[in-house]
Amino acid sequence: MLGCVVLAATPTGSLAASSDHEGQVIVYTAAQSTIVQAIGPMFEKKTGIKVQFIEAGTGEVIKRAQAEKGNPLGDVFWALAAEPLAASADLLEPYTVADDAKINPIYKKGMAGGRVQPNNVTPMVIVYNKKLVSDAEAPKTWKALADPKWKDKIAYAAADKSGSSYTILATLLTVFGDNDAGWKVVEDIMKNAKILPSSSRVPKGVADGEYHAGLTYEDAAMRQVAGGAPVGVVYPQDGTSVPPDGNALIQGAKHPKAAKLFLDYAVSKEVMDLLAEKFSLRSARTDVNPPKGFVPLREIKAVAYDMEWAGKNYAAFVKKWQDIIVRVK
Amino acid sequence: MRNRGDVWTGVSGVAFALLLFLLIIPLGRLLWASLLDDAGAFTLKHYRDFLAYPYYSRTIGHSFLVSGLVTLCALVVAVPLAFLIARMDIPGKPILKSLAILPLVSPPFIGAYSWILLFGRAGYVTTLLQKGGIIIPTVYGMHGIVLALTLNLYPFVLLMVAGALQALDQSLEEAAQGLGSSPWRVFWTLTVPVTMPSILGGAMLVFLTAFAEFGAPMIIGEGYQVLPTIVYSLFVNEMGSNPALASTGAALLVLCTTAILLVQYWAVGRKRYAMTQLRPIPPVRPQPLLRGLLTSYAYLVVGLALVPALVVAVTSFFESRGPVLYPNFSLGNYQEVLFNVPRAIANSFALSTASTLLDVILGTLVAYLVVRRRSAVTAAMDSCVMIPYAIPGTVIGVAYIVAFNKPPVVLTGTFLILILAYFVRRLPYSVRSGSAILHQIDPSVEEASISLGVSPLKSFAKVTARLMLPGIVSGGILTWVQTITEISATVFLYFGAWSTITVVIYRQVSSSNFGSAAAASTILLVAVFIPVLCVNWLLGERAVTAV
Repeated sequence: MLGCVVLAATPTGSLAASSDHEGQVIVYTAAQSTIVQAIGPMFEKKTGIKVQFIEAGTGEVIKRAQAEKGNPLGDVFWALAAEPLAASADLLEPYTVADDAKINPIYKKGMAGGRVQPNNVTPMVIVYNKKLVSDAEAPKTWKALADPKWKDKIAYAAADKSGSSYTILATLLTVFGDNDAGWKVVEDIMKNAKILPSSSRVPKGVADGEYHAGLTYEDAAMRQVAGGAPVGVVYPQDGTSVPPDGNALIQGAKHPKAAKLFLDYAVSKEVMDLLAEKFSLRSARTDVNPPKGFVPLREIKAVAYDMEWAGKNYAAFVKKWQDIIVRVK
Repeated sequence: MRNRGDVWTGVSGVAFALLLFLLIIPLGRLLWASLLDDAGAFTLKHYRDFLAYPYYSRTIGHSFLVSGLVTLCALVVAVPLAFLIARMDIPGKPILKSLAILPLVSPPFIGAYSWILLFGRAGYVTTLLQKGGIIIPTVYGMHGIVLALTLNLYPFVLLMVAGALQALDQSLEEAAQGLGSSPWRVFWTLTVPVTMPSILGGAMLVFLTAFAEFGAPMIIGEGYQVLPTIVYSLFVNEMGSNPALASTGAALLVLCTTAILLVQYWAVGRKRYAMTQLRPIPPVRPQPLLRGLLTSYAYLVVGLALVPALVVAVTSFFESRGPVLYPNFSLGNYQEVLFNVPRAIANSFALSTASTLLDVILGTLVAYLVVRRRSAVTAAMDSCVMIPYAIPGTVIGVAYIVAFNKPPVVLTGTFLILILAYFVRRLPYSVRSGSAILHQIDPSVEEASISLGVSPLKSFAKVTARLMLPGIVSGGILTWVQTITEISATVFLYFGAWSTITVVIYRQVSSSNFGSAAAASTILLVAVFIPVLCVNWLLGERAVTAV
């Protein structure tokens, strides 16, 4: 499969497919360290390409690549939140992965015209601590979190720092409307919320019992569940978004052929099956089963979340959110 | 005399060239952006925006409040402790001195979690006390930041004040007492004023470090924002940053820091004491009861500050299932990090040692110029050196990529850029501790050496540098431990095989693998502690914390 792609990409086809690349690839990634350690050696063994990872948060790797523009040092973005990635389209080169036909077309929308390729997807969810909140009491909707009884008991990552947290804000505005009524719901939730600096702190804080409930994304929450933490996960009945994490080819990459091989491999069935099985990641492919214990997507009420709309309104929404924080804190 | 001027003019020329190339040009370009509008014309609009918007402007007040309180608390805790360590004969001193530095080694983004683990809403101590009917306030918010930072930063004051006390000559106090002064009078009229430059120097380091710190406020602030956390989020925003406003915030940090430094100049500049240390004062052995009390105080303070490190060490032996920790003994976390830790530790040691050596050499020379060749030029140099102190490492990291990723000078992708960034970022430590100790040394000894025909540089090396040695070495140790725990610039500049131990820890924390992060942190703590302990042991009583 991979061999075909390489031959297709290089019409001369005179070189042996396995050696028609630059021999190394530099991958900027926000994937968990454990995933990086698992996938790296598999790719090297399969292709003979030496892979170097630069690991940091989504915001940091994008900032790094922005600063390096003009003389890019990285070749590939791997497993970054797709929304911020799509917002940095000027850093990216369009590419279509070998298995493109297997990727669910729903997730290709708003991906900077094919510059970003969906990797895995993760619905926005509510988590609650089962020791502090009974299953019956648990908030079933976003709207329920606006109830004053949750005052100082719920956790939310700062929308001006965390990409996933901004997605939640834009999701709330999709559900309740970008109008006075919608912003009132946001304000009421923020009145109850403790603002944390990073998205990973929300499920962790809820699992540890620091907060009763929190607004976060599915795979971080499910990792707590898989680890045995007393955490319940709710897919809000008033509807949620299911944004993808994405991969992309960096414009001006020094190892473009190896980079494309990596991009193909990252969304191959082999890798996606492993990510679902061992790392609780829901694939964007149509032929990979959800991880064990995950609700099938068709049972989750999804809203028509428009990534381009969310990206375009980023500055305005964040400013409004900050105004709310100044008002209520 | 003419010759002496020439040599030092040359030295200051070289120092200025280095600062220009490594500091002023890369950072100046970045800060300049705060004064330009979209079309590239001069404007103060971004400053008006920043100051007019409460979400941003209120963080300036928060920063001053937090840093002021932290400095006050650190002085209250550390000055008595410095007297104890320098003057009293209490048991286990080498270990105590070494343990006292340890809080500086604890990487802030994991150390601060320990306070949540103990004093959070569901913390061990909080719940334990609740069972006994005692409700304590949680660690979150401003007072938690002050607690964490005080215990994290008090070693700065301790190191510098203990160093100054050690450099006091015995004959001075003897003379004062011989002239009929009571011990208290000697203390207040001699010891306190003479150590004041070091007390202020230490206070300054604490204030400035607290002012630039964003780890602890982020972790336990729970929405209580300070200037550096705002600059960080403006700068490294996942959804596209706001470069102009971020530069404005960074420039405000620099402005505040410069203002604080000017106040310090004014305070120290007016009062200076010079002395020549020939006979160090031997430690006093107090009466048993007093000795017991003082010893308990010293160990209590040092012990409390070690709580985060201890919690991290204990946690590292817990069993991990994904992100969840269970209190069963396990070595699993260590197995998890075994693959990349040895190489990462070796990298961290090599990079920080190289940059520390550079810092010590240039820092000592700059300190000498600033103190002994006071002029507008050297004062400007002193302020420049302090700029990296005020700026978050993130900003320095990005500024370095922008400056050194294009010809004529391409350093990105090499280990050299890390060494240079560390060098610039930690230079203030060497300069500050060097100048603090220089204020105590009488220039006449060096002048005598020169008048006896020894060349100025040689006189400096043989006489002044030697007398400065306690300050130089304690500054060097500070620089080294602070460099080896650097993360915010590293994360932008590391490349390929040059990943450091802090990158490993940081990634494990971001992946919610707290067990593995704790294991890697514990390895770092031990790896740093052993050399510090060895230095203190080797130098024995001459060592004041470090040397």
